[in-house]
Amino acid sequence: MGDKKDVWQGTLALMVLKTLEALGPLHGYGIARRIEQTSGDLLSVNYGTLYPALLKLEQEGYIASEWGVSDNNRKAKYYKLTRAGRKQLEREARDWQQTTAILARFLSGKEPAS
Amino acid sequence: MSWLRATFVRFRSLFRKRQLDRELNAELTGHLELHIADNLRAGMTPEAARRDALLKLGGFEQTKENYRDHRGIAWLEALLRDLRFALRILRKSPGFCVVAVLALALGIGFSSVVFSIFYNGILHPFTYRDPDRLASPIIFDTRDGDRPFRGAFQLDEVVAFRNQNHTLEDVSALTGWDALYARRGATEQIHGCVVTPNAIDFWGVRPLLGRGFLDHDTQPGADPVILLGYVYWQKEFQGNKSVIGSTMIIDNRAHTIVGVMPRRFYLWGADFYKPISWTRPEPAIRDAMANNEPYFFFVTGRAKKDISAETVGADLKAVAETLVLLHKENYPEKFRFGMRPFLEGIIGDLRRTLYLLLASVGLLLFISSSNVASLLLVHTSGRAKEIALRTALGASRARLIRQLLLESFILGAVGCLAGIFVAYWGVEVAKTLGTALQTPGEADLSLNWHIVLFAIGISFLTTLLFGLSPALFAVKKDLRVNLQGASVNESSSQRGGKIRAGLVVGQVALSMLLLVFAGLVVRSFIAVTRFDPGFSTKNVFIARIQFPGHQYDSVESKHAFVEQSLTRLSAVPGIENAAVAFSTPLDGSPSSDDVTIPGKPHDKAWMTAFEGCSEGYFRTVGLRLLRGRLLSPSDVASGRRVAVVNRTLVDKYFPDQDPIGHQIKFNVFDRVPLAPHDAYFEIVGVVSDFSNSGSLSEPILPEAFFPYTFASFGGRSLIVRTSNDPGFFADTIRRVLNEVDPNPILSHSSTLDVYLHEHDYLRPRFRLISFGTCAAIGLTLALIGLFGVMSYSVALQTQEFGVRMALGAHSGDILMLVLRKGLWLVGSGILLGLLASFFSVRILQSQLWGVSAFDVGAFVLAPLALLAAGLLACYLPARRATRVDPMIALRYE
Repeated sequence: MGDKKDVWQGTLALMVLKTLEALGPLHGYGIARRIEQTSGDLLSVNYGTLYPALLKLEQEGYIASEWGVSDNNRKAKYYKLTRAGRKQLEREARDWQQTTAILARFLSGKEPAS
Repeated sequence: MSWLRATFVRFRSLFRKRQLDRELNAELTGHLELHIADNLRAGMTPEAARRDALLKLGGFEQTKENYRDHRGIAWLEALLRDLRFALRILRKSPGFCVVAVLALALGIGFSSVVFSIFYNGILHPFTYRDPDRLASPIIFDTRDGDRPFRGAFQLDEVVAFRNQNHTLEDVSALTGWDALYARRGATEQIHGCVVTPNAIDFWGVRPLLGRGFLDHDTQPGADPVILLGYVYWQKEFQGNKSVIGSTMIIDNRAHTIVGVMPRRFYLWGADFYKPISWTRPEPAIRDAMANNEPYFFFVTGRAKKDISAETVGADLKAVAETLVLLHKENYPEKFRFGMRPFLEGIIGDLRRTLYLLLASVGLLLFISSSNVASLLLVHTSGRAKEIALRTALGASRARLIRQLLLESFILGAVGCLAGIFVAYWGVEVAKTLGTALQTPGEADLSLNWHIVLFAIGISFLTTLLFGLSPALFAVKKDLRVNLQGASVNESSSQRGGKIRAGLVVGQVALSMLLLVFAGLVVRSFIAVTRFDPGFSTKNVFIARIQFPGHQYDSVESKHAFVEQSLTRLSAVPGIENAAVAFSTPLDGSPSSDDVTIPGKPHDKAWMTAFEGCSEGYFRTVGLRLLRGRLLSPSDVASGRRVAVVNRTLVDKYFPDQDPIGHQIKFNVFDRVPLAPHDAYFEIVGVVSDFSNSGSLSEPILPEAFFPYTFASFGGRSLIVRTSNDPGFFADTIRRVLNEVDPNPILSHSSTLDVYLHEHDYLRPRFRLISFGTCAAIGLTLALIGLFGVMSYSVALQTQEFGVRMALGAHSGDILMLVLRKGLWLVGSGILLGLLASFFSVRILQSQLWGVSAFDVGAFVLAPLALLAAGLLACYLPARRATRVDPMIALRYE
């Protein structure tokens, strides 16, 4: 359970960072909807898990938050990417691509070119 | 670094909980509103929209809970919560807390004091550089056997050792130098120490004020300089810093004070230190003595790293081979060099006392922690319902144990703090014991971080010890019983009762052991103070006479002064007798050596003490003549070679013979330059024995007394027996001597009783104080434990007593019932303790004198005292039991 959850947390964090990079400052609900749209059913059961992930990213200094007003005139907390967050996103994305590339090669059963 | 930042943020969020909660609430509410608005737009009914939004969020409260877990530091928050709870619980029973903290503080405090004496006084007393590599050479005579020959060397030997060795980093030497200090018209004797110029560097201690010795200080023609010792500086100059640069007239020469050594530089406990040139021309011993110039030196060498004492000894022996030619009379035919470690020489056998004391302190800690354990057991038993309720509500076992342990650790921490205070105070008391401790003068007993660390460490251990078992026990209990039972009664906590009883029995047993130890030490102290040294020590004034060397350089001149002084003293009303001898009776350093008695060859050395004295010595000290005659005035006047011997000498060397008329020779005189060589003394009389080995606890040595005029060496001590308190006569005696000649002065004046208190009674008194304190604390703790447990069991039995009284029991019956139970606890504790004592007192034997380790007094008195105190501790709760009102007690049923 724990491992799977960690992977999920890591993935979620990466998705949050990518969303904020693509769309600019956004509130929690917006991020949730966006991730739901792009990832299909992944988040649809539980938007609530997003908030601890946002909290963790903020604690680590990758995103920052401030209170603002939403399109339909409601008070909402907006998250935006910090400079550290941008770097973290690059790093994570690269790692992720490498990992997936290795996994893809591995799962496809081809020997790596040596 | 992001984790560091995160931790920091999380930590900070612990303190802004309320605000963060508000924000989270607002954020999630906003989230829901946005979602609901979207759903409405998608055409849902308001209810469906709201339900869907909540469902997708995964529950409002659940999300908040999940979020909160990530916000702060979960375990820290839980800990803080537990801590607050524990504090609240403890605040509710202040009596219990005070007693527990007190018990801990006493145990921890006293053991820290003992550890401080052990650590600072024995393990690390010195601030000198690499003290473990320092050792002093001693020449051993290996001609027949292996006997110490001498440990003192002339300066040219020291220089040879220093320059020609291959195993030592450096060599330094020093010797005592008692000199006359003239100030404001009065002359007094002060105790100096003459050191080689490298002493300050060698010992590695910088002066506190001023400078060390410089090269030119010891050049020919240089003005003499000295460094002051700290204690003397404080005493004589009140710690005045302007003393640097001023001069002191010592032995008629002006010496400039160039510095003050720190307190922990205490070599020979000297008042001052004076450098001596490495290249001083070696004086003849006769001249050196006449001019009070240092002649023999005590050498200390610092071995190079990883060089053994044997290697150094062999190395020095090789150097010494070249010296034998120059100092023929100072080397035996066959010899070797032994190295006496510096640390061993100074620390002595306080070590063994302290080991035993540490063991006792360990027992004390056991008592104090089991005491707190039994208090905690009582405390947690009272909370059985609360714990059962919490378990029923879902608190895990680990959680409850953690909670209970936390309470113990709070007690432990407070106890530790209080213990450190007790230790601080105790160390101050220990410092005032000063000489009684017989730790080196360099030692600083103050609390340092080692001691504090020790206190914290043992607090932690004892806390684990006393906290864990009650916690485990309390949690293990059957849930049902405690939830059902309206009140806790004796049957429901029977197992707890057994553990408590066991703990109390253990405490009583251990304090029994400590009491037996203390009893033995007390008996030993009494035996020492009551010991008959062979004569009455009451009303005896003693002092040393210091002759200025240049004026009194012959036997005759000293004798003339002594003769006149003794005659005049005898005429003073109240003075019964007066005499002069080399040393005072009971003095710590008897001179003894092998003797030669014609017709009595022997393989082993016959170690025999000798004393030079005037004819009045025997009457003054109070020795009875058993055979022959005493020394006569004409013997003394002419320095005739006759000897009076003590009874032990006769018993040992002349078991069934009349010793009168036999000759005896002290071989040591052949080696002392100023003594008559090959001198045989004729035995003329036998006197009764008295304690002469320097310590009351040592067996009496064979001894011979000669006219003190037979040689010019040796000190001259004055012994005066007075009709009442000798203190009143000190001034008179001084004045009488002054009238004869003002130049010789009296030093070390005292009385024999005071001397005994300062020397022979010291060690026993230290043991008395330390073991006594230990036992007293142990006893107190055991009684507190007993009292607590008895009180609790009486409280549990209130109903039962009520029923009994309602059925017609008298209050006397109830009293007996409770007392019987208490007696059973105390009795089994005492029996166990006696058994333990019986098997362990043997290790105390070395600390005892005059009593057997199985002393009946100690083994009878200690249990009786414990029994009496134990009954008292039971009586108070028992009386409370008799006051139970049957109606009130039964109403609770």
